[in-house]
Formats: sequence, C-alpha cells, structure tokens
Amino acid sequence: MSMTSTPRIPAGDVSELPTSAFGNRDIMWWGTLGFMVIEGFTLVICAVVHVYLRKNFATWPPEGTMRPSVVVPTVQVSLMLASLPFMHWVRRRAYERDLARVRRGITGAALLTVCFDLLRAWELLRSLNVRWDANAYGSAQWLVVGSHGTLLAIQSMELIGMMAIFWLGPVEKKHFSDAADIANYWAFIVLTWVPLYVLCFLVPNWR
Amino acid sequence: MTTETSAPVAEAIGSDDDAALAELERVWRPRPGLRGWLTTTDHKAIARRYVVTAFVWFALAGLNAVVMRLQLAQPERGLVGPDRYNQLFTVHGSAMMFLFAVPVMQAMAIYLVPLLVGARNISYPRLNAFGYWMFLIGGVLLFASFYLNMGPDTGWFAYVPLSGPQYTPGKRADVWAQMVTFTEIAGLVAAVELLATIFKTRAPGMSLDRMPLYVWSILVTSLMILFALPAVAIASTLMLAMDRLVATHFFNPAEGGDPLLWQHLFWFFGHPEVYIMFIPGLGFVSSIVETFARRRVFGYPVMVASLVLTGFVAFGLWVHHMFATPIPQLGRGFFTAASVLIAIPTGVQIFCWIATIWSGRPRFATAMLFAIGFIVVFTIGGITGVMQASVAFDLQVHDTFFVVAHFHYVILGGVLFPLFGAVYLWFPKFTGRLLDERLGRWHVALFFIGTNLAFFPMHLLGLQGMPRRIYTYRPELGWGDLNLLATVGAAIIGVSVLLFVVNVLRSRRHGALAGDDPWQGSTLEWAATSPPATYNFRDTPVCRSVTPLWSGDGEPAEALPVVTGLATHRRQILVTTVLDAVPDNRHNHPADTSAPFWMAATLGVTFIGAIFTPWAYVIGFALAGIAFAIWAWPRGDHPEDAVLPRRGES
Repeated sequence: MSMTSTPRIPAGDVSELPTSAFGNRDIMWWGTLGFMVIEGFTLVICAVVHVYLRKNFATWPPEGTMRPSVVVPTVQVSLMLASLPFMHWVRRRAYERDLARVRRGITGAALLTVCFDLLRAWELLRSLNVRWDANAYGSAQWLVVGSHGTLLAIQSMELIGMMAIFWLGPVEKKHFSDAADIANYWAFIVLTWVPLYVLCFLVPNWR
Repeated sequence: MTTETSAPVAEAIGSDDDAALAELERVWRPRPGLRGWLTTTDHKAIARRYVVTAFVWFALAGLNAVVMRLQLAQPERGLVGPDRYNQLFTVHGSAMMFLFAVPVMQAMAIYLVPLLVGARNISYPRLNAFGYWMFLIGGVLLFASFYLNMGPDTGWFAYVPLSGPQYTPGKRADVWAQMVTFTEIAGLVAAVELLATIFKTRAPGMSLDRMPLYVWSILVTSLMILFALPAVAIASTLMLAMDRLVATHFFNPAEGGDPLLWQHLFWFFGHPEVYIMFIPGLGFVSSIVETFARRRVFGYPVMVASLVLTGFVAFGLWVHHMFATPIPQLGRGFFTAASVLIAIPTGVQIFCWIATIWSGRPRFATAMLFAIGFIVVFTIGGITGVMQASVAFDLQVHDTFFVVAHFHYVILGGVLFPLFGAVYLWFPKFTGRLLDERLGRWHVALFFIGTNLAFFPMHLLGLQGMPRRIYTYRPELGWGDLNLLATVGAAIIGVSVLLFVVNVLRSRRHGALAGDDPWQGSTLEWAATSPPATYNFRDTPVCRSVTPLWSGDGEPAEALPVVTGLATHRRQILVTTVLDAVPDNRHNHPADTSAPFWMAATLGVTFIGAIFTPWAYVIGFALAGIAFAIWAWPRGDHPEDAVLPRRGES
C-alpha cells in the first residue's frame, strides 16, 4: 500500500485568467442551459399530452365547449415577439458591462414581464373560455397555458430580484453575466410560447 | 493559462507553500457545529449524507421485502393482510427506485466526479445542498406515511384508474405523487450540476477522449435524466395529483381523458430510468476492473460509444412495458426490435471487461469479486429481458413472478453489485481507511448466493403462473417450496447486507489506514489525500492521458504535473473549455449558506400542503420566493468583485 503521494511538478499558472466570463465560457450559463432543456422538454411533453387527448374527441373543442378567444393572446404573443430586440439590446449592454443601461434594461424587462403575467392570467381566466375541470380538453388547455405561465412567473421573480440587486445591492461583475443569461432565458420563454399559442388558441378556432 | 511547460520541469513543488495551504484550509473550512451541518456546500459532505440517507431508505425498503417474503414463505400465511401487503410492495418498489437506486448513484457521483475530474468542488454547490434536502423530505414523506398506515398502495408505477380519485379515495396516492415531485426535482438538479462539472471543470488536458469511463457514464446518465424525469414529474405532479385535487380529467375516460396516457408518460420515464440506474454501475465496473486488472480498460472508444448508444436506445423501449395493452402491430415490432438491439452495446462492454481481465494482471479483491458477480447476475437479467422483448412470450409472463425475477436480476446485478464493489474501491477515499477484506469476501459470497436463491426460483414460479402482487396463495397450487426457497435467499441477502453494515461501521473507526492511493489507482481522485481536504486538491492536477496516475499499464507515474494560480484567499474553481479542457477562467465560488435548506423547506410546505389544498401552491411559492431572494442576494464579502458599492456606501 502506498502511503506517500506522487510528487507534484508545476506545469502552468492560471493566476492571470479572468474571474468572470460570458456565454458558454461562464459556468453559470451551462446551468441556465440545463434548466432550459428540462423546461423546454417539459413543455414539449405538455404539448404531446394535448395532442394525444385530442384523438378522444370528435370535435375540438368538444361539443358544448366554447372556443378560446384570440384577441388578448394575440396581443400577448405580439408583444412578446416585439420584446426580443429589446432583450437582445440588454444582453449586448450586459456584455459591455454598461451598468447604467443594464440597470434600466433590467428594470424595463421586469415591468414588461409583470405585464405578461397579467396578460397570462387574463388568458387563463377569460380567453380560454373553459375550466380545467370541464373535460379533458379543458384540462389539457390549462396544462399547457398554465405550465408556460409558471415559467413566466418564475422569470418575473428572477427579474424583479435582479432589478433589486442592480438598484440596491453591491453589483458585482458576475451580475452582468446573470443579466445576459436572463436575456437568453427571455428568448427561450418567448420562442417556446409561439407554437403553444398556436396549439392552444389558434388550432381550436380552425374550422 | 499563461505558461504550458511540457517536460522536463525544473523542480517539484516543495513544502514552502505552507502559508497558502493554511489559507486554503481556512477559506474552505465549513462552519462548526449544527450551523455548519446546515450550511455546508462541500460536495463531499453533502454526498456522504446523501449516500447514507439513500442506504437508510434502502434498509427500510429492504425490511418491507423481508416482511413480504415471510408472508409468502408458505401458503395462506396470515402475517399481513392484503391492505398492508399492498402498501408493503408499493413502498418497497417506490423507495428502491425513487429513493435508492437513482439517488445513490447520483450521490456517489456527487462525491466522486469532482475528484475524478480534478476540481475543487461541484459546479453549483448551493444547488447541490438544495437537492439533498429535497431528497430527504421526499423520503421522510413516503416512510412517515407508510408507518402511519397511509402509505401508497397502488404499486410503484401507480397505474390509473386504480390510483385515480374514484378507486383510491383518501390521500395515499397523493403521497406517492408528491414523493415523486421531491425526488424528481432532486434528481434533475443533481444532473444539471454534474453536467456542468463534467463539461466545464475538468482538469487541464482532460479532453473528452481522456475522460475516465466512470465520468462518461455519469455524463450519459445525467443527459438521460434531463429528458426522462420531466415525463413522470408532469404525469404525477401536474396530471395525477391534479385529477385528484382539483378534478381535472386527464385520465378520466368519461370526460375524454385517457388511462393509457399515464402508462406512456410513466414508462417514457420508467424505462430510461432502468438505464439511469445501471449505467453508473457500468462506470463503477470499468473503474474496478481497470484498477484491479492493472490494465487500461480494453477498447476505450468502443466502451464510450456503447455508453452513448445505450443512452439513446433506452428512450426507444418504453412500450415493451405495455405489450398487454392495445398497441398497433407496427409499434410492437419496433419496440421488440429496439429491446433486442439494446443488448448489443451492453454485451460489447461485457466482452471488453472480460478482455481487460483476461489480458491484465488481475487481483481478486472484494471490489473485483463484486464486478465479476455483476457480470454473471446482470447477464442473466439481460437474457430474460431479451426473452420478454418477444411479444408472445411477454404476454405469457406479464404480471407474473417471472417479471419480478427478471428486474431484480437486472437491478441487483446492475446496481447493487457494482455499487458494493464501488464502496470497497472508494471507501478509503471517503474515510481514509480500508474496509475489511475478509468480511468483504463473506459479504460478496453471501450476497451472490442470496440473490440467486431469492430470485431464480421466481422465474419458475412465474412460468407456473404465480401472479405478482398477491398477498397469499392456496396450498394446492404447489408454489410453497419455491417460495420458501426464495425467502431463504432473501434472508441470506439480509445477512450479507448486515455484514456490510458491520464492516462499514467497524472499518470507519478501526480499519487499516489506507494512505492516499491504496490500490495504485489510475485516476485523479487518488492524487488527493484520503479523505480529501475540503478543497480537494492543493493545486489543480493536469491530465495527459486517460490514466493520468499511471505511466504505463498499472505502473505509477513518477510525478503529477499541476497548474498553480487559483486563489487561496477565497473559494475559486478553474473553468476549462468543453472539448479540450484548456484553462479558460476562474470562477469564484459562493459562500456557505442555509438558504438551500430554507428553499427546500418552503417547497416541502408547498408540495406536502398540496396533498390537501391547491392554495398550498400559492402560499408555498411566495415563501420560496423569499428563500430564493436570500439565496441570490449578494453579500459583498469581496470588495474586489464590486462594480458599484452598496447604496449609501462611498
């Protein structure tokens, strides 16, 4: 049994390497990516459930169930898509570590996301035109719209927290990487919603 | 990295860095006492309690099995009634799958992977602590419910409509659904942090083609978890629990729901789950065989390709659990073919291990005996699996003890044999001491005999038509003798596990001192002290081959190249590039905190409360938001990080 350790010989020095990074160089970026994969696949499964249950009905929505209204959801999805260039701008400013602009950008994003939450609540309560316990169609609609809504709400909590840090806390270099990551996450939330919006609000209105 | 010196290097690092070492010790040391226990983010401390907790659930679930075997030892025994029996097998299966087999493999990985890749800690240490607390709450929920006679009783896969509101009123099925929520969250966060550790914190030079096979196995497993676990989490938390709590109709055919949908979602998770359990076992076997055969594992590229292929094909098998349902003919053909196909990559690995042992200089230590036991037992389980890939055969043995025999061979063979072997191999790295080899030989021998005696007769019982999940049977059916034999086997397994526990408890205090590298191992964890310091490595090791501590096959390297320059005055880890592991940046690690504990506690309130009322989600998530704010709020401990000081500070 060896009781002694192997002698160590120096083969390089890393003391000059930076202590923060952006994108896939940053270790936190990989965590965000991991959760986007999990959440994205969760939404895919919700959509599969939706499509799977449809085969049990002769009409969609089933007879006696109102079709969803499309006005507010269409406004919502349009606003979401329109916000993408803005969040791209926030991400670019984060890469530049431009504190004043990132602070304003994150504040704007936090306000926007609260609007999205309110619109989502409206979509659930007023636009779907069906309760979750009416039939399997209603359950499926609530599953998809509600699951995405949960992610939206979590994003809002993160953005409000980040806004608080940027205004009140000791802002650190890593927070710019976090801001860039949340801008990516924003794009994920918006782009995953587009097909789900089609599935839940447009498809049941096709005649 | 500023300099990359090839060889020869002028001088070895001496003992003149004692001051830096003392600083490292101070910076990485956890707080003392209970507070330290609650706040630590050291991957080793968390992994140790994770492993121990998982073994506690294993022991409790094992006791359930003992009671079941005593009940079935003779016909018409009255030890337990049907209601208790239903809870016994449901909690046994659920605990073994959700609270032991997968978590214990992740727990071992949480301990070992950062050491094998030469990192100072796991990538996301707070998330790691959070995952453990979620796992703990899930286990307590399940077993507390069971001991209060409200344990789940609808089988570990909780098929609807049985587990739906109509056929299982009360809260038993809700306990099962929320236990799944806890364990799936724990499993998912562990997968994410292990992936980031593997992708971004490998030692300089450890390109993907120099990664130990065990690390490859965890990489594949973690990727599988990302895609498998969401299916069951949705099915249980968002669909089954909601059908029971707020009267959704996902599985209610009267309102357009579909019971078969549950089976699809469950097995889309449940089948890959089998591979999620034993692929880390394959990694353990590679490490054991390499260490004790004193030779690099034969066919490294083929081994890696086999692991990756297994991970992919595992997602194309789930319908073979549903051959007794109305599946289209084409679907049956496809899933039969896939079920046969998956035997190929596993078979390739078995041949590679045999070739390694054959061409090496094998030493038959206890760990190696467990690896050999794995090859035998797991191969038998694999063969009966291929048999059941045939629809005609599957329909004959569906829901019989043949299936019970098959999956116990797979799971004991694929999980427990490699796991026990791994414990014998790495116990020195956990504790600094060796497990007793003599007791170990008794352990492996009794475990091997017990496994075969307990489960081989079940094949025959199944072929004779004995259904699974019956609490008793009539004497004239003639199943008594084989059942008695199985019970004797189960008792022998119990004795062997007791020997293991005695060995661990005794060796932990009185075992022979191991030193850093008792087996002359090939991979980087053996370059750390035993047990490792809280910071794992004084300087980050450099990796120049797949066996960085060997100069050839089994020959110890003369020196270990290291890179210096990571901060000693604060917690810092080295981040390297994904493919080639070139040093890229230094990541400042967060401080210890109790926030993960509180976050898990608030989610505990949420999901346990949701068994009774949907408002628990509203209240619980609000509380979780507060916990998250405490978690994420910067403390300003390091002024050099600040871009802007706190408001009011100059």
